[in-house]
Amino acid sequence: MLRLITFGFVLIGLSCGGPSPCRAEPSRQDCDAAVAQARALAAALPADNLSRYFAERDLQQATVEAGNGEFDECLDMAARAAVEVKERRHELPRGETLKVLKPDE
Amino acid sequence: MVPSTKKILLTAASVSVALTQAATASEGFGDRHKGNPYVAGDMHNHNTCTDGSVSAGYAIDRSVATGVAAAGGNNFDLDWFTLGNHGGSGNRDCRFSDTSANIPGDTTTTWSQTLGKTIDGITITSLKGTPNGTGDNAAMWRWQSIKEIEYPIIVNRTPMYDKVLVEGLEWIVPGHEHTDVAVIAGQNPRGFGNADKMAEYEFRFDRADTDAIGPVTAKGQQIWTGKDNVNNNGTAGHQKALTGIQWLQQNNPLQSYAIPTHSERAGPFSPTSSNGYNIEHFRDFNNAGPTVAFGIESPGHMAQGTTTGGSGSYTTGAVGGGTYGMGGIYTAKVGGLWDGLLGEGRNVFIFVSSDWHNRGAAGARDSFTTSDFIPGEYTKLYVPNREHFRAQSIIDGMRSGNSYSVNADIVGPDLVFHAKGAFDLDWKTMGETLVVRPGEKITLEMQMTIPAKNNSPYSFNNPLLAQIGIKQPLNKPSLDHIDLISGQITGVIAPGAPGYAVPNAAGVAGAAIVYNPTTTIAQQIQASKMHSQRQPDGSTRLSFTTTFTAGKTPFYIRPRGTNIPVATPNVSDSAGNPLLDVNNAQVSCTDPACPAHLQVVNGVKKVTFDVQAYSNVWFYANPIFVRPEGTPKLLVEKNAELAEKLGRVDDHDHHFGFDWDRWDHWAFGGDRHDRD
Repeated sequence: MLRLITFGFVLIGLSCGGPSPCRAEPSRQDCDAAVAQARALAAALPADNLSRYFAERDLQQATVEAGNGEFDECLDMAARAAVEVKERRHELPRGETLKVLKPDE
Repeated sequence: MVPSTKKILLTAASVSVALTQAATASEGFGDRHKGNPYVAGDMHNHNTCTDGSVSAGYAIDRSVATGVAAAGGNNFDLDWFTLGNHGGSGNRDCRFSDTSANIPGDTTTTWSQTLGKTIDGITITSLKGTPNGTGDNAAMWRWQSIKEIEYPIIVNRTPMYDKVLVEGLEWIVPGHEHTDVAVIAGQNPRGFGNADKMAEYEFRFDRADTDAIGPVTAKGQQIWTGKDNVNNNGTAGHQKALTGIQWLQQNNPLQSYAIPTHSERAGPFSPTSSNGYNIEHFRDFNNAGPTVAFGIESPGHMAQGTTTGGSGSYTTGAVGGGTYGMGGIYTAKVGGLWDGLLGEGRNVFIFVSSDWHNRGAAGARDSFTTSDFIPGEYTKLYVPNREHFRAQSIIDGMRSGNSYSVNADIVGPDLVFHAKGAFDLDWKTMGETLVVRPGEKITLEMQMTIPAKNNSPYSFNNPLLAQIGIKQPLNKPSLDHIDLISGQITGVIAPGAPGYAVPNAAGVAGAAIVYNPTTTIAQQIQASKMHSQRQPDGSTRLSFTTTFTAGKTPFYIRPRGTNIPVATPNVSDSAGNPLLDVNNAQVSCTDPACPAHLQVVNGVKKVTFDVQAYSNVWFYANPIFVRPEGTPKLLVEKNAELAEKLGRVDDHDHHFGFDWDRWDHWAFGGDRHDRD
């Protein structure tokens, strides 16, 4: 559902003719909007929430994709981040941690 | 000869071995014979020149070096590496990794911060072409970064590793999504050389490169003229793409390739935008470029599988609705698009790659990944080894079809797949055509080594197998069976003829389309039935021989192998075909060692990300074609002969001229492929 919402504003105003279903080329504005929407969802979670961390990593890649000038992958990553936040698929039992090497390690 | 005064500097983050002065071109190139009949490489990967997470040098180092990187993280010792980054533009300086990669001392750096500075022996004084962004968003067009950054880094790295490094491109295709391209003409990392032809291709034909200027002379005159900067989408875009294929065929018929990659991901083709590929587009490409457009590339991004799908970075909108055994539906389906092309006798071969960008929630040095594997870590594309293995050898091997694609080291570098007729002395191998009499018995032999270990950081038992009572550690490869898939060849369909274009569909509806209804799993050979020989290094050599009987119709045989038994719940169907990989995430990972990064449903970890990839493992080999004696040659044979003929013509022309870029060839000898 979130994916359909994400692409809803992408398809508004765009034509996509022919017999095969297709996804019209998203724009930087579409990318920025999707990233902003997902970032707002993530920011509602506590700073140490693991799903927020995963979502923000996806959003980091979404902005990198935008820098490449290909905005459909930006939308995909933003949608992935939004799903992560919505479904909270990362929980750790007490005592378990996700170990990610920091730059100073 | 590389100038002796040239100094090579590396940033701290990318150093994995000490650097020396650049080697002279007279040193043997690839002379160190590894002894393996096939050598492993990667043809598609990214760095911070576009949307990757690590610098170009770091990507090379981790992929081809041995041992452990200086800052941490295993290196994956590939034999060859083609740098296959996107076209278009990028604002980040790819001599630096992104901050998100968590590499010590390496942070995101933009071109605006480094203009005029000498880094890694390379000085960029300006961003060329049509101005593209300002400040930190000022972007370098990819033709410039191909010429002036990536290729020089390849030159810097080549003498370090005695490996073959090639500058390539992930072409953002007009009218479509992506295609991996390499133009090796001019590239000579150990001597005088450049990647100008690769850069020119990107400038002219990449739809994300909208630069209208390109390189200019000292007087400011455009060098690469006549660019079509308009027809970038839909049907018009497809025509521009064909022009690009034709450009390769005309200018570099033996020194280039163009292979559509993750070709299901963007859905079916659209006549008005740029989406995916239907079968007619593969046919168009192969028709326009018979010695350059000869394949289909599986998706990378194998560690992206979640509880809602996503492996291969495929969404539900992809043709097929996702991946199947980490492959796209075009190649995973028996009777799918690939079989449709083989059913014409076309030279269209399968290749695999990492599509390395980043490790998702992990940094570049972490052992786990929720996104991509580093080249060589999980995927290996094997091409034939040669005594003087070089860039040309990669392309020749791929074009010949004598190659195979492996995930998670399920088989090693010495696959044997060959066949012969009852009266033949010689075997035919992958990509070749066996000519026999109707009724003649064909003997087919396969031999393969199952390595003792792979690169999985996990040693707990495969959860997909554990649900059916099989205990197999994830870091120990295992083969369950081989499928020998066979389909009839009914001849080439002409453009515009019935059946040339086939309506496509997004999602799981696309998985129902049958392109070659004659294709079946002709034989299924259990590993337990093969001859097995344990090796001193802990690997296992498996072999079997079987027979087919030739009919009156040409056909092909292609093998695939897997660790997944037939009818494994949530993984394979009753015939042994892979199910949609999102189903893998229905399986719980309950071992106490199941890692923290797995997705959780109702408090239970599920088989997702890299654990999913290491659990659901396949390899694909290219077909052997079989044709009755006296029948017309197949297109695969004709195109192989065309390549052979073009090679003889080029060899003849070459010896009547002096090639300044290949002076070392004349001074020190070399085979006829050793040229620009």
